[in-house]
Amino acid sequence: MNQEFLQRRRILTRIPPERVYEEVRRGNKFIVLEEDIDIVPESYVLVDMKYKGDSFKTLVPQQLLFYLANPGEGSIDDALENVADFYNEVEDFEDGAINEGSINVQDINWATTSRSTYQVYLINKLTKNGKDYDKSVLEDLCLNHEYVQQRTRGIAALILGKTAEEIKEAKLTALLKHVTISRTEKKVTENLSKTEAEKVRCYAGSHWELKPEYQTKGPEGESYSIGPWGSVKKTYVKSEEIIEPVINKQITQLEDEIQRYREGKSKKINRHDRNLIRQYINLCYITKENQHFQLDINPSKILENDNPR
Amino acid sequence: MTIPGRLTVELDEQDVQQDLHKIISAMGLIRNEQLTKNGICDENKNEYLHLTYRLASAIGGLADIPLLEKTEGIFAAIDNNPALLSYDYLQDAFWRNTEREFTESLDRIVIALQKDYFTGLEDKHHVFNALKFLGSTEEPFETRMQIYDTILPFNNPASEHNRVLFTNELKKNKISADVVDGLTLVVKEDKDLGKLIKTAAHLGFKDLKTITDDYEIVKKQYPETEVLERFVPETKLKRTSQKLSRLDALKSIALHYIMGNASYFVQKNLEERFGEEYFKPKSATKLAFSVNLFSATANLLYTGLSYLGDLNLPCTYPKLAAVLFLSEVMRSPILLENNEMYNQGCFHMYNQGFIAGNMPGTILFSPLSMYYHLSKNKHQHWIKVPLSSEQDGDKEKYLSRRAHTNFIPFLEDLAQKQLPKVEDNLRWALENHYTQGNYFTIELFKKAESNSFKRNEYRQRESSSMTFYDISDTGLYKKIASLTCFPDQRYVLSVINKDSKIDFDALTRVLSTQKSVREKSDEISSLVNAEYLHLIKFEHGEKTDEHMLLR
Repeated sequence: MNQEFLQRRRILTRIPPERVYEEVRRGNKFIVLEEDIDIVPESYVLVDMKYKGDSFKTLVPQQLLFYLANPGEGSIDDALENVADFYNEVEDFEDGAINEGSINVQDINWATTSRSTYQVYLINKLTKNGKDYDKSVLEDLCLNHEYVQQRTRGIAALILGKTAEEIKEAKLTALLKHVTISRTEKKVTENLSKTEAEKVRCYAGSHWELKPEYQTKGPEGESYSIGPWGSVKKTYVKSEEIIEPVINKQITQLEDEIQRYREGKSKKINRHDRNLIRQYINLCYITKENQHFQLDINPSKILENDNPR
Repeated sequence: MTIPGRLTVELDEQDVQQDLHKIISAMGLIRNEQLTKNGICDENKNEYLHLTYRLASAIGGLADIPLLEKTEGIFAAIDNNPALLSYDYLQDAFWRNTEREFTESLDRIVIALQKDYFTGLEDKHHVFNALKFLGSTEEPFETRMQIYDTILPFNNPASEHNRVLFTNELKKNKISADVVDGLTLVVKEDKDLGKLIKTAAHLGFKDLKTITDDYEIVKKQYPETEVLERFVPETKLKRTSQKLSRLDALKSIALHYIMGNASYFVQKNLEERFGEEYFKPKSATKLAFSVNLFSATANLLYTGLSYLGDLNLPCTYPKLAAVLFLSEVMRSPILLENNEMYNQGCFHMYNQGFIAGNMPGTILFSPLSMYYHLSKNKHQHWIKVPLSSEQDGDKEKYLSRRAHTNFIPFLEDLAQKQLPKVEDNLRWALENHYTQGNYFTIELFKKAESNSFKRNEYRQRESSSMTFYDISDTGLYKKIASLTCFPDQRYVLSVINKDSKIDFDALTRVLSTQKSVREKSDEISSLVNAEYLHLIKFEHGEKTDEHMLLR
């Protein structure tokens, strides 16, 4: 009887179906409606996106809509969480469409808007007033530590396609290994100056000879001999090496090193940290040179130890 | 702030167009990052597939009949040649030779979709992936999944669909390269480097990894070359050494014993060439010295005993033993001296390790020593040659090409500027013969500089006009953005074509006529041979008309 009554009421007032209520209860942020409804669940907004007469209705939380409509405003941490969750749910919907082989013009607007909004909040998190970096956030991410700085600059250098020589010039030693191209060894004999000779030789009454400690080979293979008129010759092997720097690291390795370093410093690893560091690298080093080589910021990335949604 | 419970948002083509640029830009970032890594991780594969779905949706939303006609040629080409499924922009030179119609259709689709936002042909890769997605919507699930497998931030020439094609192409050029690491072609031969680079770049590889015995000369020739590591050739001896060390300890000991008699130089070279794990010179010298000294001493004692005791024992070549004994005695001071243990007695030498040869060994292995001396400085190294300069010209040019932006909004802002005080400066008169347009230009660009707009100027006295333009070189195509200012009238023009030379004199004459914007567009299009043209007219700071043309 009750079911029948609900069914009738649904037809008259177009109440959201059970599936929608269930999704609302779970706190989902992107609820696609197959049919129009008259009663919009509390704290949600029904957004009907139209393109060339085609309608696409979704329920989204009011708060999230506020963040998407006013990027940068409101609580930054809450916005980052909400927008990232929303983007994940949009991607879940897209997974279905990809499997079915269908397309949806309105969905891309949701995805693109949330992607760019997320990036704005990342910038706001990193900066205080949109200009100066927030030192406490930088400290939390260890971005002002020399070890991490070497790696963040290294990531930028790699993505900008810098050569090993340019990286060496920038003193980013963490990225490089050295390869010996050729090694030559040659015996060199040179006459010591008068003052240097004085330290090595002594007069034995009738002739000059080497002091006992200089009669055997030195620790680096150098040997001395007495020439005419007490001159001293030093003989040693001089080795010359041509060493070339070689890039030895990849972006992922450097990102992992940063994470391990932060874990070592007992920092709490947040779900958005990787993207925050990437955004910092974009802002600090990459956009200055070439904005088309920025690192991609993907809100759907979730840390392994995060709870699955 | 109150948010209503129900909202209706009307999207227009402009919104979808904006989304399309953002999507292509994001795809470009992922591609660039994965190319830098020379590998694709699952996370990025997935995100790239999502972006491809979005791009396909945007194309589906924007597609008109002329665009759909262009895509038909693409699908027909894939049906005829399934290897195209693994098309990548890096392979463009190869496909331009073999599937010209396909590549040119794709060029036109990218230009038609991106219009004023066109930045270069690299975006063809993303657009093609989106077209594959669109073309697969009617296919059965399995076929769709197979097509999705080819939707990647980059495709390598050795992927499943086109492997045979590219392997044959390598064979045709007599290049034996069966190893491909991502987008790096690995050639384990010291071949004609110029030819290798040309072939690898043509086939769509990003880097070439090969060996050279003269890195310094190669570096001078190709400054972007990087050395990776020392190359140790797998010679017969090394293979033997590996086999001995792995399979038979006794034979390895025998090798060490024999080579332990060779000179210091030979032993060090063996170690350097075949690796310490296969040949240990210190152990070899130690072994040879101990065995020789012990056996020679024993032999001499045995012979002495036999002789003195008149025991008539079998002969054991005492002369040979004497030579061996003497040569080891001769070697010992060298060993001690080499080890700087001269003053510490010989008891320590076994602990320190040393390398030296004896006289017979030095003579016996002198041909080997001579060979090593001759080839001493010819160490071979693995090198990596980036091929981007071969594919896109020099690096500076490549970067600047990617850096340019859509200048039309910037020029539209300028066109809307009202400058009544200096408008007359555009008109030529005797009194402003030398200053015509100068004050106008200063006023127009005051506080309106764009960092990347490389301003060129063209002045025409007859029509009293000034034209400001930027020509971006995107490789095969040129992108021209210009603003032509007549008194109280402005024209913003965006053109994509293959010719770098634009006759601005003729162009300004066309703009100065009384014809409609549509007629002017047609005339300019044939004048500059445009693939794409967008002309916007402004009168007294107001946009009054515009027209867009696509080939």
